[in-house]
Amino acid sequence: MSRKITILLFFMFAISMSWAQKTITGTVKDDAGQPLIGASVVVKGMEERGTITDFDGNYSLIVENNAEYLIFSYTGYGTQEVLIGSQTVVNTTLMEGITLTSAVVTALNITRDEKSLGYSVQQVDAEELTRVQESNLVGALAGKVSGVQVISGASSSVGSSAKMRIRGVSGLTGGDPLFVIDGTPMANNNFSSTTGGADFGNLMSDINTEDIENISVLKGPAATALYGERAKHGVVMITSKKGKARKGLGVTFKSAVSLESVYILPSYQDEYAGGYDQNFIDVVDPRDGQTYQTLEYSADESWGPRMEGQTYRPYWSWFDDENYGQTAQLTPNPDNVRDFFETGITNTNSIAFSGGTEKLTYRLGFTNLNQTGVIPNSKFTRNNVNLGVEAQITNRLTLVSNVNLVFNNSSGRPSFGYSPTTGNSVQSFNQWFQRQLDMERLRDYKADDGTFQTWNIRSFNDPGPLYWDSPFFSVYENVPTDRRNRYFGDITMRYRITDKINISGSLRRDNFNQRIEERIASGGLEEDYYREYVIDGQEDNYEVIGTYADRFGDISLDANLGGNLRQNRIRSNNAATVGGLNVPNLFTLGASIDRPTVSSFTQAKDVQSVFGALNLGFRDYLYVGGTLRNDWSSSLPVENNSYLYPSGNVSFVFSELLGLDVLTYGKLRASVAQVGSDVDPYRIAFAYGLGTPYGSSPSFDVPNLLPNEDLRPAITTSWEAGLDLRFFRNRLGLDLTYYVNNSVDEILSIQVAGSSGFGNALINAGNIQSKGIELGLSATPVSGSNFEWTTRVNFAKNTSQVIELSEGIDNYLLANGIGGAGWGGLTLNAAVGEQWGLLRGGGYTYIDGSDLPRINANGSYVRTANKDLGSILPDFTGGFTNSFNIYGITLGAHIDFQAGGQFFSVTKMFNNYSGLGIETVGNNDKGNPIRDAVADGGGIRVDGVNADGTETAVYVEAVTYYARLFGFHEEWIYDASFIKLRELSIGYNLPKRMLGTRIQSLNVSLIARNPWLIYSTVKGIDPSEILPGANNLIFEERGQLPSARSFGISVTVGL
Amino acid sequence: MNIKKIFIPVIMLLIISCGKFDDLNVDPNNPVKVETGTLITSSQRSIGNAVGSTLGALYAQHISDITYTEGGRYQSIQDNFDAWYTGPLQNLQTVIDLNTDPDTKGDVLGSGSNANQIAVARILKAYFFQFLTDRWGAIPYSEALKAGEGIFTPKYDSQESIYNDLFNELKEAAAQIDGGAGVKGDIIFGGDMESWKLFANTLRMNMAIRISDVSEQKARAEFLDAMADGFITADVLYPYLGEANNENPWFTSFRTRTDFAISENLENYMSGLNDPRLPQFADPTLNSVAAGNPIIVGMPYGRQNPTNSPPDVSYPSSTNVKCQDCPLAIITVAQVHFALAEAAARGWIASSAEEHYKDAIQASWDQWGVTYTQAEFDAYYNQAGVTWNQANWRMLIGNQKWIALYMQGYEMWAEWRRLDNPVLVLPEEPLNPSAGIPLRNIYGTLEQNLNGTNYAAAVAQFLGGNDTDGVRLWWDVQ
Repeated sequence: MSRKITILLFFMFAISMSWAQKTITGTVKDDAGQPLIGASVVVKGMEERGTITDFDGNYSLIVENNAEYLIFSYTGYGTQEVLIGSQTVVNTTLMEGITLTSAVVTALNITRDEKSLGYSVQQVDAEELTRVQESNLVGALAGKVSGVQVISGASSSVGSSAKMRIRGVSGLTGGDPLFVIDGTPMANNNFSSTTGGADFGNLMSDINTEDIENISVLKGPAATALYGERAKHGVVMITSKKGKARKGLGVTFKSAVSLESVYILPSYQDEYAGGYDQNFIDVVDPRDGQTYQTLEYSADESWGPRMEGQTYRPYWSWFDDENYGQTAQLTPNPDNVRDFFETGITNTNSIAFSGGTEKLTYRLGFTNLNQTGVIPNSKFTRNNVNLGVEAQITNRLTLVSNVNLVFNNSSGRPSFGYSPTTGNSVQSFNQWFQRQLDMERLRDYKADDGTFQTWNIRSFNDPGPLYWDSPFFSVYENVPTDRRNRYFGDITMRYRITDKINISGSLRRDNFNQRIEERIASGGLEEDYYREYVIDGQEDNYEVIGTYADRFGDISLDANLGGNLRQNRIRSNNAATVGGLNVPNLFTLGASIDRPTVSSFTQAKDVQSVFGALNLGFRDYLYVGGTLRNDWSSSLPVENNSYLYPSGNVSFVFSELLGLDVLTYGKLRASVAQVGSDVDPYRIAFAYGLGTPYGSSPSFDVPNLLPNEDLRPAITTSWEAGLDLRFFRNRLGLDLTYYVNNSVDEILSIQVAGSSGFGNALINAGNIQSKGIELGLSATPVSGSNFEWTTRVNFAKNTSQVIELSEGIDNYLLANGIGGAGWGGLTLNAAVGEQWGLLRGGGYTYIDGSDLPRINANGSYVRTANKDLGSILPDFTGGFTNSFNIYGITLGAHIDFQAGGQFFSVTKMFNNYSGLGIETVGNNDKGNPIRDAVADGGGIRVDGVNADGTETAVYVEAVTYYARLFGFHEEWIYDASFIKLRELSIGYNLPKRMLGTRIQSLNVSLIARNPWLIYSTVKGIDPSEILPGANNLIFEERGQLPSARSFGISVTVGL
Repeated sequence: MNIKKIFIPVIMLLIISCGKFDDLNVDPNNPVKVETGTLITSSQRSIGNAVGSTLGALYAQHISDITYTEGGRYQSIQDNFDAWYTGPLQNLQTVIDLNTDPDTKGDVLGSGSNANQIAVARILKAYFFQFLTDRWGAIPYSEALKAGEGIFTPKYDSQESIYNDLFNELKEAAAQIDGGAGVKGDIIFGGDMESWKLFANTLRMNMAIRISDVSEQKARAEFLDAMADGFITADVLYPYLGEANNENPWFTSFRTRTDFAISENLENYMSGLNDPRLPQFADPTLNSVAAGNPIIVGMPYGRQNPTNSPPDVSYPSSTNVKCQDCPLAIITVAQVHFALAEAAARGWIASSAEEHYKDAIQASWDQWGVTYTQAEFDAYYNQAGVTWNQANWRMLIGNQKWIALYMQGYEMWAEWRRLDNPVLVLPEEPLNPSAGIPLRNIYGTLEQNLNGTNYAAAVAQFLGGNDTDGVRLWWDVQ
């Protein structure tokens, strides 16, 4: 009851005040003397009080008598602050590209002057986002914001996922930042599998970067206490492009085409053919009675005979067609894997119409993205429509609305992961393939009679597939399709009650509907199969905010008070055939031979909130602010569902006091904040789980998770302190932040001993501390009319330490590695006293006084189980951006880098296990091939020590050596350090004089994405692209698709 | 005026939604109450996993891996047992609780009388606990399945105390079966409570034999008591269905792959005896069939880098083992006769050990669908190495059980450990710590991490401080 009253309370807050006022008029021009249309004019300290210039650059604004400064701004131009004094006419000139102070969008879409903020906000503008037409918004941010780590899916996929981690992890189970567009919170779910199959992209990949004006990243909860629990992992605030008042209709057209080709592949050996040993097998062909030399066709490993042009019967000589009985020479095909891939094409066309009057501005954008991937038969299209309207209905009432439509369609998205059933063709190449195979032969995977042919046949007289279909079968027959339709946006009404008090109400919705269809065709290795997954998700927010701004002498005040109701709803259906299809390739659920698996799911959750903020400023150099929020969550027990949390921040702009010429701007800031969080719905009461029925007998199970009726909301506390410095009129800038973030008493599904009857129990427990520094350095070393160079470096170092878990629990298992115990039991852990994300698995054994590992008499390594193998979190991350402007030609280059962060590579393990890897050939120290028998002087020399520490060396057969390293995790754990040139562009803006009167601007750019992986510690794998679908815990590379690079051209025309 | 038009609907929405707020957290996807028979069904489905285990069949060397031999070289000897507790055992405990609690026992009568439901749940619990203790030894028992009472780290009990309690459980459960409605959802006996009695008694006989070396007096008493209560006269099989959700696990693993073949040592042993069950156990190799000369070839066990092609070795029988609805044995008449033979050999009962032994072999032939004449059976039986010889009963029973318990992998692995027969082969480069044929499973890492104190106490008390696979269980005297 009481919360309803509280929500209503601030409506009583409508106390109006009046003050003596005057009207100021003036004209805003650019440095060429041309009027600027739609430039913003606001009263400093009361930024909601403002107007924009008309078609002649004129404005008129009523201000209080005590108003001191007007702030003039225009996109792409430097902002000016002008003292009003006693003037009633204030004219000004804005200079292109020079920013003196900046406004930033903060929580709840409120724009504030950067200097009043006691916490760090980092901005990325449109140009940075769209420089090379990266289609995934999250991917486009890689390296551009300090403290933000981006891990992408494979660039050779289409429409693939990207994941963002801000300041390491806040909380035990990790999490994603909240994305907000024009104030509307957006879903960023990912309905891909976490282990294999197609990567359907994170939902934020729907967003069109062409429609984005600016992104602010709020990294700590200090900045975000007003967004509630979901802001715990940071907030990415996106402001879309808006129309501006201008004469006529503004039209911008942009077209970009880029060509993609496969880039990073492992190095393969090209000496030995397929087989389990080096002997040929003699087979008598029943047709002619002759004996032929053959390979072990059923083998999918490459420990076979040395390829020396010997005559043999290849697998395809046993198919019942015109090639039957042919022989061939046994030679390697060094480029067979590369031959599989095609040249992908990404084509983006966008058109935007914008314009307006002083009373109404609008922008309508339409973008079509069309992509064919480097992996054959993969296609992706995305259409975005964005409409933004702002209408001043009366001089007190403003209507703002943003409406966005997104339509995604894809077919043949390639599969990732270690799972032949989902047809990851690349897994086959890098892990189970052979060097003598000819890709052109495999391309004809379909025989005349409709049966399918593959290289890995069971035997000469049974040419069905044993372990692997032809990779072309996978991509052309097992075609997944998916579609996602989405609409989101808001309708906001703002009402100016008095000059000091505004109230606004918003209705916001984000709705998506995703449909995924997966297929396994009839006639291949796997049983034919069809799956349909439909999910409908919606979030509505009903929001009311009142704001109050005033100034009392040296003290400025702004306050707001609001209420929000959030409603999340999810409905899904998931169904798949069982036991095959009753008509070949009839991909419908009705074709299921056995009872199909069917599940329905609905979920509802509401969170009601009231919040308020108060900011006080003293003489424009000292600011103190605070927020308070109370949430009521439907998913917590009724008696514990209310939680209140505060934040406070202070900002001190000391440069105002020093008045040094050199120091343009200097600010010290500090903030402390808490954020509360709840739990997913339906976790407090006991309910049975639906099991697999036996015939007509239903089966149910006691759930594995013991629910808890006494859960409490969890609280994360964080503080940060920072310093912003800008020198020489912004030619050099530095921002530095130190932060500490403690997640305490989290609601954890903690693993308990299964012998208790439950595998997990929900409890409040834990304390995870993330702390680190972030550093941003920006400079304009050269600034002339014909040559300008600007550069920016981001750097962040973070540690996330597990301080405590629950009583008696010193480890929280985050995930089991691939293969579980059967693959040696790799685990990912949060262990007390250790960095979060600790890998544990089997590894080498060392004894004091020796650098060599212990080995057994047979040359095998002595295995230490459950050994600590490092954390998956990087030591530091960052980016380095340079842009040059030379006689109108702009050159942009963006590098991002990461040091540390461990991961386990399945590809590397099997690449060598199966004898494909370059490491599996060569000579030993005796000068003999390591693949020769030890008895003949071959073998791999293993150096180690005995139990007593004496050094020893044993020669081991190469095949045995690598077989023993299966599940020997330490050997296959790599450091994900990399330096990557991610973006490169060269553009030219044609001078206006060459364009005539119809065309306002024309830019031509050459662009490149991922042109160069400059440095990586692991050969053949791109460590920046190991994101496994929807898996948040990126600790395993299970069969990565190769990275791709692209080169293209883009043309932008403004009318 | 304007302000009201705009904001009142917003406020109305906020208020309207408040009404439903407190009810929103009721899970619409999962039921709070179910028929208890559905929990029994789910538990029984887990028997299908126990009897269809690949690793069990490898450890008994009934089969061999063909290409990827890590499983048979004991790479997975360290294993977690938690899923047996959180799955079938917790379901069964819940059946018992709901049928015992005065507040709920009246609500669950739709699945049979309270006593009958409890009896079935207790018998099945005993079955699973014996399965677990025979693999790991000491396990959480007396404090297990008590998370509801706040016990999240149950202590381990000795195998001896577990066996002692299981005898009581089985005896009491069989005794409490009443004339009320049989259990619903029973996919093994269809709610026939008489069969449950016999099943419980037979399990007890088999358990008594298992401990006969270590505790002969107790074993003898339990055996005689159970025998007097009556034992099964038909094989108890797990009935897989001809549909993918409930199919035979061997069918599943052979659906797309060909990873397993009958082991060479079993095949050689049976070929040496001209055992007519061999063609019932395994198919002729594909290549021999293609060449018109079908032969059964075993796969050498546990080779490190095997080069045998799948078409050159014999897969488990596609008519008796790996068809989609081929049943697999839970406990068989042959096992009962072997138990009686051993009881007679030990002098517990007066009847002829040899006759029981003969009956056992014959029951096995019947079980596997061998068609034979008495003369053929006699010819087989009269071979050296088969014919009964009281002095050699361990070897004879061990070897014949190896055949008769084909694909009852974990049961045979236990019998091999107890009888020390047949002679199994040591794989090349075993991947288990003891580097010998394992004598138990090693506790999984989950228990070490989550129940560390009790785990450490158990290792110290029951394993001599060393949690390896080389430590003998309590009933494994030598």
